Amino acid sequence: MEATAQGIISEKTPTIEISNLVKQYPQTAAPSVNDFSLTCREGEIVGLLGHNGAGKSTTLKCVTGILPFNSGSIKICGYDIKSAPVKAKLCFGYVSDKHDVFVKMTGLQYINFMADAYGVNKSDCLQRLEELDGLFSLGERLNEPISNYSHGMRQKVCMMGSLIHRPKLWILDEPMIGLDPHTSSKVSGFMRDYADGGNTIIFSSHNVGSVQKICDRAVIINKGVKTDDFRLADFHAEKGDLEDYFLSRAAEDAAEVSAE
Amino acid sequence: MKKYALLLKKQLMDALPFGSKNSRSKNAFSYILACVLIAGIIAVFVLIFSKFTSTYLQIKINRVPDVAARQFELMSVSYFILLAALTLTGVGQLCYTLFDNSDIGILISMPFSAGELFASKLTWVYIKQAVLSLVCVLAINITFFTTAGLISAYNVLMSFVAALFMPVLPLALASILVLPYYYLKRIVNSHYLLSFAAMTLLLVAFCIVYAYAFGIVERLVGTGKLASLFNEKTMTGIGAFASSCFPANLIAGVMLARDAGKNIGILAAVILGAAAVCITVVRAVFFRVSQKGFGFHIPHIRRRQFRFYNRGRWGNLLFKEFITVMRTPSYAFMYFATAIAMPLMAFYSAKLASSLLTGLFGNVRFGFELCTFIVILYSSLTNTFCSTGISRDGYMCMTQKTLPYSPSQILSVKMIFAGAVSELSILVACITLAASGLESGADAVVTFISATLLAVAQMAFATRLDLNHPHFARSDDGEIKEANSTVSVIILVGLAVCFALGMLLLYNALGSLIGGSGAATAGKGAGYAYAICIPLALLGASAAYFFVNLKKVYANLDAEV
Repeated sequence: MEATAQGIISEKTPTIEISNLVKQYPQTAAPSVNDFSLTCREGEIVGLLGHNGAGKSTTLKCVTGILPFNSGSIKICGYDIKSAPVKAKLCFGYVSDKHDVFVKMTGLQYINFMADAYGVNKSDCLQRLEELDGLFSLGERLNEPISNYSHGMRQKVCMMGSLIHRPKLWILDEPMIGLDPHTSSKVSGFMRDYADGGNTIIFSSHNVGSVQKICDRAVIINKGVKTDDFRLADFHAEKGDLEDYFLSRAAEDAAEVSAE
Repeated sequence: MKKYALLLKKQLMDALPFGSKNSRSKNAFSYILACVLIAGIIAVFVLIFSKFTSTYLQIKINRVPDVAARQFELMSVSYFILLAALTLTGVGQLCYTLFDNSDIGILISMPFSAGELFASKLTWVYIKQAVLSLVCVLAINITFFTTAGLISAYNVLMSFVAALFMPVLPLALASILVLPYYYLKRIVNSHYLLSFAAMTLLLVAFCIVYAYAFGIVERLVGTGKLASLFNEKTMTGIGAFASSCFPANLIAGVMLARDAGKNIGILAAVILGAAAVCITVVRAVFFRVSQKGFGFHIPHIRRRQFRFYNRGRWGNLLFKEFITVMRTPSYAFMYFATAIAMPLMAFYSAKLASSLLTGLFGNVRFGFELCTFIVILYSSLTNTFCSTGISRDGYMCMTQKTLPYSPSQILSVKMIFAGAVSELSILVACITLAASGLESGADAVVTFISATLLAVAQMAFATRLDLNHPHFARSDDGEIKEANSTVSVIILVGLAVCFALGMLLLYNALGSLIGGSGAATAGKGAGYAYAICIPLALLGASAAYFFVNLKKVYANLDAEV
């Protein structure tokens, strides 16, 4: 089986499989991510919830190959990010929280760059671009250098670039920051459709509301450790409001810290 | 006043190597290297300027010497050039302070008044200009007055006073030019064809000035006289310019103690007026920028139609490098302009050095040794662009790690792009030197091989050094404006290696010529061997340094640490 932009996923292969991940930054006393395991399958939208410094972004950076990790393993569509990084990277698209793009390129050149990087052919590229422009509405501004773009426009072009190869796994770090309410709503709808098309989405967020609205599953991280992992449909029936639960957990953690 | 001092202190701490404990030693090292390089440049300037001064002061018109007039002309023109240079740097400094420095956006939300921010920013710009002015004025004045035998306590004191007040005049002019400059910069940055055209024009101007300047130096070194260059007509023109190049002529008058009282009075009035202009204009722009923003909208061609080009995965990375360089004027200049100008600079330098050595050793020919020395020297200086290959990707280098490219693909494309430009300039330089008869065709081939090996070694070393110690841009445009120790290290190591190899080649040639014709033939072979084997060994060492733990270091690359 060969890796393509669509990956080699079968019904039995998880899109993302993190096992006992440990990541400790140099010169820090404790690991930022500790013994973290997570498996996501196609059709799922998974939200990583946690307060600042909980380890959400670090986990996603390890998954995408941005940061090396100390122990554990990460597989994307069956490919190990350490031993087969290029094949694994062909399977996902990533949107960083800083909206990093090559600011000297025009929006169109950036998307062209991303399409070539993932080996997307010209006709697919044009067709997908039309679809994505319908969603993000950058229009003629795509012909301008990205250095002229606002924060939100950069976020949009990052998202367009990350989706041009129709990745099996879409990874986003704080995706809704910087988007206007209209686009935010359209992106939420798109995420649902995209996951329903047999893909997986995982994103980190501080915003409990957006996780509650978009996700099928929520994973709560605290001090680098996974504390909760539940399907939201079941959660609502059993425990009620996610925000109340998240805040009560945060209060418990704070009480534990002060007791220590 | 307390807040003003606090803001000024913050800028001072940002600029000097007193940061965190971790970065302190690294910053201090880069500052020391930069100081060594600046000292070297000043030493070269002092040498050339003192020689020029002593020759210029002896120029006679109609066989009549007029040392006093020559002194006034030389000082006036020197100050005029300095004022022009300070205006250019002033425009750059003000532009950075007003538009590019992102800390205004943070500071404006803090309990500082806009007036305090403005005053501290303008003071900081003035301090930087004053330091530059002090270094230049002292280098010019002490060299001139020592050579002319006029050094006195008055000259030294006035040099310090001039250095302190001189920056006010260029800053006033710069404050008027900064808005048009910023607008032009935005347009040029957004249209890379325009950027390329502007760069080509600059390059043509540079080549003309370079050829002319080298002509003067060649005659100065060759004959010790400048009579043919500075004929009566030229001298009349210089005299007229010197007496009318206000306010440089007044500063020259003060320095030479001619009508000092009157000139100081006029200069004081002009400086006060200039300070008022500068404060008024910069204040108006600053308040507008800090409170409302000053976003120019640069018009672009409106196309709804999307066009795509399939460049392939490698071509894609090459295109990215090309766009990044072409749309950053300083990088474009470093890459293309210096590489294009390199053959010309090598040719004139080889011609000058050749005539110098002919004067010293008669008909002895050092063609191969000299040309190889000069080509590797200029090549090493132009290749410094590869020392920011990683850093200039900025924070995008992190997102780039998520793309389906291996580290070796990303790094090799960077080196291929730099190498293509470098190799082309080395090739043109070698062809030019061979065609002009400064060395034979066979010699030129060896020179090319030697320079190529050294260039690749330098690129591998520089790329890895940058990967180990990246220095990411703080500004949004991705341009690295801060002091970077990698650049200084690459320049210094490059110069040291080139001088060592060049001197070895020249020494070998000289030694073998003393030994007769047999020794000369053997010496030539040894010269070829040195020129190829030493760079080859350096390439091996550099490649080893490049590849050791490459994957691990690339994986550990973290822009946020």
